[in-house]
Amino acid sequence: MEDKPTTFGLGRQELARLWQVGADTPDDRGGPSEEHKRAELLRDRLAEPWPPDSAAARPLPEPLAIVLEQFKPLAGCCVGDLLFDPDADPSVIWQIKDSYKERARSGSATLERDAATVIYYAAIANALLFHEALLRDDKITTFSNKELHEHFSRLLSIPWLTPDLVSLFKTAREKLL
Amino acid sequence: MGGTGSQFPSTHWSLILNARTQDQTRRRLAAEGLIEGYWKPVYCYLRRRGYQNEQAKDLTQDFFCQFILGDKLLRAADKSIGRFRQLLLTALKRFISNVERDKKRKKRTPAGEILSLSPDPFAEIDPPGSATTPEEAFYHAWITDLIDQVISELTKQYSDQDMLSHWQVFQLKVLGPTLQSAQEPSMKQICERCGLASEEQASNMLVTVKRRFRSVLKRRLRNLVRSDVEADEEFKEIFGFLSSSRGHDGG
Repeated sequence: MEDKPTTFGLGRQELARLWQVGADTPDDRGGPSEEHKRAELLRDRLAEPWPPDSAAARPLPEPLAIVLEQFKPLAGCCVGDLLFDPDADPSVIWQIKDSYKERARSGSATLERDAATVIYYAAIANALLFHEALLRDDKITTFSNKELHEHFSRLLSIPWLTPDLVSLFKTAREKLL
Repeated sequence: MGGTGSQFPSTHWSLILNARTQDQTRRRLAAEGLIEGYWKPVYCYLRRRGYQNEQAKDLTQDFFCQFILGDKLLRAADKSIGRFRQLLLTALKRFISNVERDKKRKKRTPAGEILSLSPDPFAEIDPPGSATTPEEAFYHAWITDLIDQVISELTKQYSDQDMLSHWQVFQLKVLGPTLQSAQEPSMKQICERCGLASEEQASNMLVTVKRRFRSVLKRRLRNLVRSDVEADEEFKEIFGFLSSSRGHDGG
């Protein structure tokens, strides 16, 4: 009995993830809902390695491709790890921001573009929370604080966000007040 | 770990009803089933209230002896009364209030009946740091026991039905990363690990298991309340509790 996994030691965030399986999974009568598909896609994108596998990714603009080469040692980290990590290299956060900004513009499907948009803003939220210089000095974004607050508020109304992202956007929004 | 090894009857309420029977064997088995299923929330409440491990164990036994074998709780646990969770917590608060008022804690053994649970389900566990009140500690243990039961049931189902690859996908994508607080792998990585032909196949398998997870969770939750409406309310209430004040758990 002692060898069986138990959820007792988990925090509420982890338990919420499991409980959410029961919340947003479609029942047997229908196929996956739109919301479910978006949630799954977003989780999948967060789980992608960074930098992306160059064999699988679409060709990136040359400046980004050059940057990718420099950061290959980061293989093993995934996008989600970096977005929620206060110690992630600020230049990597910037690259993620640029990469997903591009994907949000040129992604092949609406679901892909929407997932990319969320990750784009998550990179900005990370910069706001953990690397103030990126905002203040280097201007990682040209959005004003008011605009960012509005964007984060809109994002928080998305039902298919992961609990981690909800927490990130909430905390970032609070910092803007 | 209380609850995961126990196989409850198809309805939880039948356990309660059986505990009322005059048939000593059925009564005892049902009572033991209830205790095994719910000792952890009671114990965690007591620990968060400030009692040390041995004191909390003694009081947990006292509580169940008095209220289950003594019929007080079970007479009150009519299906029309309400959610069993609330009933148990209310009874526990009343019990401990009396204990602390009387300042007496000796083992109470109903006449002619001694509880001897084997193996002893009471393990020393510390309520999580995020549970700052006894009520939250009770709630946390209640929720985790429920989820553990779902996982245990699904593990057995997928093993019995020879669908272990489905379960493996779910473990890799959802369960493992959650239990280990790790980032979940991509579907591509899961395909490589499980030898699956395509991400679409892996996704379909994942959806299948998630649907069953949902179904088992909702059924077990339904067993603890009066109606489908109440089950939905309980589901949302628990999600609301887990989603709020996700504070640091101290480890």
